[in-house]
Amino acid sequence: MRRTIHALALVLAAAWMPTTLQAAAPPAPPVAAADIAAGKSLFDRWCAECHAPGHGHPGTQQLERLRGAKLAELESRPDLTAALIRYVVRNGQNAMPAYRPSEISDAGLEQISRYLGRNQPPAKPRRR
Amino acid sequence: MTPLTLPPGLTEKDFNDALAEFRRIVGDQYVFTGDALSAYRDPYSIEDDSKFSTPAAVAPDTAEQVQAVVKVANQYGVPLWTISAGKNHGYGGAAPRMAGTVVLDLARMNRILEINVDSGYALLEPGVTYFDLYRYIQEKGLKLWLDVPDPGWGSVVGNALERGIGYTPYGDHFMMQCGMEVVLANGEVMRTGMGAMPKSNAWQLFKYGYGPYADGIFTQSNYGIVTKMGIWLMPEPPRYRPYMISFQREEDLEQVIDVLRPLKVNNIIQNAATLRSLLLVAGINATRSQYHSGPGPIPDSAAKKIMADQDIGMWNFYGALYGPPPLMDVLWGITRDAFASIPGARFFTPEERRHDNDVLKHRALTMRGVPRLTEYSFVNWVGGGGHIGFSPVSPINGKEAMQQYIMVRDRLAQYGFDYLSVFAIGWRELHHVIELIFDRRDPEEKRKAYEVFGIMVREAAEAGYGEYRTHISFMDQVAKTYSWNDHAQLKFQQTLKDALDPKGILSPGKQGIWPARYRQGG
Ligand SMILES: Cc1cc2nc3c(=O)[nH]c(=O)nc-3n(C[C@H](O)[C@H](O)[C@H](O)COP(=O)(O)OP(=O)(O)OC[C@H]3O[C@@H](n4cnc5c(N)ncnc54)[C@H](O)[C@@H]3O)c2cc1C
Ligand code: HEC
Repeated sequence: MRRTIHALALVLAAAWMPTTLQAAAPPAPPVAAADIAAGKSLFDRWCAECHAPGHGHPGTQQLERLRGAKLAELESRPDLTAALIRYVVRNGQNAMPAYRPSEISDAGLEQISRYLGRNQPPAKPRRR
Repeated sequence: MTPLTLPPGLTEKDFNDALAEFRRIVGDQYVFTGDALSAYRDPYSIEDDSKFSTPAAVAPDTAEQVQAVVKVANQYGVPLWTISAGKNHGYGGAAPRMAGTVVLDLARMNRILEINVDSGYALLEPGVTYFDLYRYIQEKGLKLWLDVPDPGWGSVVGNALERGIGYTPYGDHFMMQCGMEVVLANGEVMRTGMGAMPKSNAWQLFKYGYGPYADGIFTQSNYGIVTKMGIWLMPEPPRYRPYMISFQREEDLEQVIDVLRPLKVNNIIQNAATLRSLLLVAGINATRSQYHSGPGPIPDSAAKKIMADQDIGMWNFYGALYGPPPLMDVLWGITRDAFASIPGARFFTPEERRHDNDVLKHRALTMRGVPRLTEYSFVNWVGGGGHIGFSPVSPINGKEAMQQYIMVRDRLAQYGFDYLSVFAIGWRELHHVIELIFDRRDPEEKRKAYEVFGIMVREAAEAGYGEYRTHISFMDQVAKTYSWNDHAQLKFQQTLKDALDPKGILSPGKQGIWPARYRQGG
């Protein structure tokens, strides 16, 4: 199940993604607790209004329709890669508008990615 | 990536020299080029993005930096498109009207300069969003309410400059604006109203000052860059009671609007209340495909099913009462009796709504100024998220509302689009805001949206209805509909433009106002 979803997300993004992003991502480095906390607070400020659990959040609602209840809430997803998050935040995806670097800096985006990516299992060599 | 378009008439060398100067002023990391510009595209554009592409964005941190940037722009002839939070979704987002325009992005200027609780106002920089201001007020425990548009991440200043709307008694945002600081095209900085007097302490208290009232010319315009603005805030009322009234039949629209007029004109309805169409309300929690899979308009049977599932009407009125309970009781008595004359009208408080995700429960937050992003849900009505706003103005008159409704509903249906709308009830008029929802992944849908929009602008104007604001794709067309006496108003606007901005560097084409140097092409 997870693999199909993940593949789908990449396919969605692949049409516009610069080729460098499509290469297999390097294994995620261990993440410091402070970084996670910073990422969480940026997520709360910029993303939670659309992606928090419960009613009234357009992101959660639409992802439930597209990906199913288990993958509706970004914060508990195990499958989000930094590359996908970076791509979606800077380019938007369907109803979700993009964020400019004047709002969320590249460093801030990195922290958000680490926070949302914290549930990802350590990278294994990829089978094609 | 859309191909790079340079500012018209500039060589690559001049452009790069100007960028180097911008970097010197704001710092290397705050001049964005290349891939860093992806988020400056209009997310919901219906034309080719290259028509509205930007070659760079500059994000200053202070009014002094804005002045310095403007001086360089003048020297090199670099056009600048000003945005504050840049969330002008449905009207162009952060994208400039003219390809090759550099975006002047004020998001970093996000200081809350003053809040006065006793007199009820705030002095803000343009990057302050509704969320920022709301969180600040909550943290400090101040007894003040905001008035918010549905997108809470918008800029308080940017929204008022677009003459946007919210839902409390302070819903007409420009009406609640008081005092500005503006950087002019020559780099000079000016304060308006009482702010023009050095020792005045009434800048945020008295709008007009002395002499011609200037603030209005900086709204929906390209005459200056607003770097500070005062906005009045509502003292927290002792009590608050939101409500909803649903009406069952399509044709009820006429009577509802006629009942509304005296209630609004006499201020019995205290807030900027709204009347929402079936599908706009439904779109917060459902999608089209749940009710109808084919093309063509939603059949009656499906409409009935939606009404039953969500316990809503063909039209749904969301209003609220504010004040001490005896006052609210009196106002509610008059309001209820007036609407009870409409057969089938049903009255609800939030507690009486049976679904947890009910739209009244969400509107109850916006009608007391709590910023949210919930309304982005309706952008997913057909899937693939895309939306532009068509927003003609009309008198608060049942026959005319009905006429507009039928015109728009039928035109949209002819092109395969559904009718989702809100009638926002102003002091004396209706903003009939129609949300044209399309699938942004489908080029054919975008083409159709573009075509039908243009037709609706023309047909509305022929019937005497003008847009209160519009998308970058239609700024020229809408400007030309305000044509009384051989376009006398547009000529006046151009005269001001040429006097205030002779080099034509500020937001060329904004609202159809082009500086002389681009006017032929425009
Ligand atoms: C689902 C949905 C619901 C919406 N609901 C509402 C609603 O309820 N009410 C409403 O009003 N709108 C609504 N909108 C439209 C829009 O999102 C808001 O109006 C939003 O507040 C505009 O963006 P902003 O405040 O970030 O302004 P910005 O994008 O920063 O500015 C808007 C424009 O104002 C001018 N401007 C901005 N800053 C300056 C400055 N400092 N000096 C000079 N000119 C400047 C520029 O021309 C700019 O393009 C809605 C949109 C969507 C998608
Ligand atoms: C205005 C509401 C809104 C905001 C704010 C928002 N999103 Fe989204 N987001 C959505 C919607 C809607 C979708 C589903 C888009 C689609 O149709 O594919 C989405 C999708 C995503 C996805 C893709 C998930 C997938 O499975 O395809 C990611 C990643 C994401 N958002 C991250 C973020 C982050 C990080 C932030 C904050 C920086 C954020 N979003 C802010 C509405 C929003």
